[in-house]
Amino acid sequence: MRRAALALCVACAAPTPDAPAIVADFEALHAPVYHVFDLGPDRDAVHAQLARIFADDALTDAYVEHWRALVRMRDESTAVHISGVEYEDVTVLDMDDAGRVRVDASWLVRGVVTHQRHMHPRINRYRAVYTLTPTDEGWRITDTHMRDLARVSSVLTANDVLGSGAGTGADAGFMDPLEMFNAGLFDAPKDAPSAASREADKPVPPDAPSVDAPPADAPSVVSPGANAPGDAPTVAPSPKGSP
Amino acid sequence: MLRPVAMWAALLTASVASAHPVSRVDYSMRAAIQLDGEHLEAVVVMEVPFDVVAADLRAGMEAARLATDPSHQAQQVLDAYSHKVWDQMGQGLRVRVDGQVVPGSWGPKDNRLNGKGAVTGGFFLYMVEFTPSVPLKLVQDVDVVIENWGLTDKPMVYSAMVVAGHGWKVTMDSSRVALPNAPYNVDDPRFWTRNLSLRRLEARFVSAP
Repeated sequence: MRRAALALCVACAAPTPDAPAIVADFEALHAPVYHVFDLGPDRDAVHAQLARIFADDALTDAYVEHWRALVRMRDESTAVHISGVEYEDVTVLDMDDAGRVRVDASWLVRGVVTHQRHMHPRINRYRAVYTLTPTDEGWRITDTHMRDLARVSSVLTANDVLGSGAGTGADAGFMDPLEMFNAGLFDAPKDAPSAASREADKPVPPDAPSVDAPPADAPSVVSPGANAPGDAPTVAPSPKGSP
Repeated sequence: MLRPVAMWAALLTASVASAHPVSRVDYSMRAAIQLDGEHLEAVVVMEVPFDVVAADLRAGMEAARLATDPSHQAQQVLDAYSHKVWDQMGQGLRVRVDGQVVPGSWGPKDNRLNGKGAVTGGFFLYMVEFTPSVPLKLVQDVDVVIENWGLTDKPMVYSAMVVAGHGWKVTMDSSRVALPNAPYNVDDPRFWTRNLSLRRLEARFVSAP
């Protein structure tokens, strides 16, 4: 169950944050990050999606991470369907003089993975501290510190079996079968729709660059070695509006 | 630095470390008896592997995809399936108190997890509870038995637990023959067995004012 957000603005001389509003803004900002799984390794679409959420170096980092994940999924014929993002607790930690806000968030991500003709439901729990920076286009995430992540257990205790079974916290590990239906879990086994095949299905101009190659005129915002492992993709996000 | 989405993908595609107590292809059946004040609670929980449920539901779900309102149609298919499983479970179950079969019925337990999918474990969960149709006389020294004759054709592992509620203590728990003499731990594989003796769970309670 989600707890109420608390403002812990102990040491800040800056304006007191409107915690409930920030929490709402954060959730609306953060949840769409998972939409990238619907895009496949389409660099412009991925970058555009992430640019609505991240800014500055955090945008570059997020782009690299997501691109790597999407390419790996394509290569391994893996697809992910996100069926829900649930915020368990979002706490506003502080706000600095520049109006930047740090939030400590824990949330669940529910989804189904299709891999080699098998579908697997998954529920993961995360906790991270994000820095939100006000921009002309609204809040953007400019820093991320991951605190914890885990598969959510679905162990049923004695308290869940006997009595009302209320309030034991086991719910998080369980998924409603209708949610599974909507995620396609009951469909006949089939190969995961690879991102590559989806990409190949799109009409592509004859002179369009390969999805694995950067556009010739794209600025290389991914500096070698800057938060990018050695095997980081060589592609850089293209500027908005470029083909 | 760890990043939520990348790690989500990694966790998603990793193999399952912990799962169904014994395997992902067996059913499991767990019986539980609790005496609490004047109330007897007899519950049986069955876990059905995902693949079994998915195969059973596939035709109905594919038809639901073509319906005008797929979610509504799918929910009807799911509800019908859950009731079928609960009925199958109940048909093979019987409760005895002090040696006498207690008239009553088995029905789905009102529990938010009933009929849901346990994602980590890889199974669906179904729970039924017994409702006696006559008042029970529970005084001093009470012997309670759950007999399970149902679903004998399924590959099954068993577990059981006996719990003393307010006003009672347990003096005999037949599951101790097959399970460790230790606090019940559903996550411990030692508390799951193929021993058919657990199809009959007997518990003796004495009043403990």
